[in-house]
Amino acid sequence: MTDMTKFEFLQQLYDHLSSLPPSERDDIVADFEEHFQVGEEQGKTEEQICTELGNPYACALQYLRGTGGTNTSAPQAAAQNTAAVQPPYPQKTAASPRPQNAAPAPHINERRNKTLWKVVFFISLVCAIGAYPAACGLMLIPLALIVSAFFLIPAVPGGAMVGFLISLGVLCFTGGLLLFLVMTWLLRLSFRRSGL
Amino acid sequence: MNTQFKKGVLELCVLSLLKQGDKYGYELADSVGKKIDISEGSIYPLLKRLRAEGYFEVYLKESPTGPARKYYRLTSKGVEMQAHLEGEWREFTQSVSAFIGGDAT
Repeated sequence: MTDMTKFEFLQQLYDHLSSLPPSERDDIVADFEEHFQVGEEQGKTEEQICTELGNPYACALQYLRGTGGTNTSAPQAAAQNTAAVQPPYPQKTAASPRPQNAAPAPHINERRNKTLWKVVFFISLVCAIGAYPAACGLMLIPLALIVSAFFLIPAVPGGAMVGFLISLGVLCFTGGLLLFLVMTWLLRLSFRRSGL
Repeated sequence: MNTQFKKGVLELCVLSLLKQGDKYGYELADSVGKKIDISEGSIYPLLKRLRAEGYFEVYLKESPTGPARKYYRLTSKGVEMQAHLEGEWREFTQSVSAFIGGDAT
């Protein structure tokens, strides 16, 4: 955490604030940009300022909970976050009693969204175990067709078979590639949105 | 020092600093960070919350060296809150001091 650059800090802060409205998000990041600006004018390095600011995730969490400076410290917050992943029905944790100072509604929504994305992530993770080998298999089918074509074509009369094999191969390859890309996209998206 | 304890008094520190005059975010974070061992980043969420609760207002002011800075100014509600917290703090520290000194039983 100590060797972070200004860009990394702001990026992480921005990412963790994804559930806030864009204007509010920009406003918060602008505050920190100003902090870096002034700090650099006073001769501090980006790394030094980052160290003083602390963990961007901890900062973001304080904004999300609407409890600036009065509530959790970073390690506890991180522990709570990972703990929420464990139970099979994590939606329940969103309804757990928790002291809230301001704007409770968007904050609960934010938590529920995150838990929903976590569920999506784990489901797609399980699916991926089957989907990736299937995708690889599909993409390898054209190879198998080419090999078998060497032996088959002399035996089968006419060019009809060749056209059929080529289109089958292309179809399988495209299907496999599509499955691979969709799976990867879903995993990435749900991983980011869940804030894991 | 205990982290929870420090965070609780941050509010009083920030309000007291602003009572002396308008300041921008970095000044507040820097002043507090120098005296109290805390992540300076936690000042900004606090500033945002206190502003939302109406304890201070913000305005932009040009700086001689760079872009305009966001200044914080205490509202009358903020002045009241500062006095209230200061009173609580004095009362609390007096009680604790009494325990430490062995005067209270």
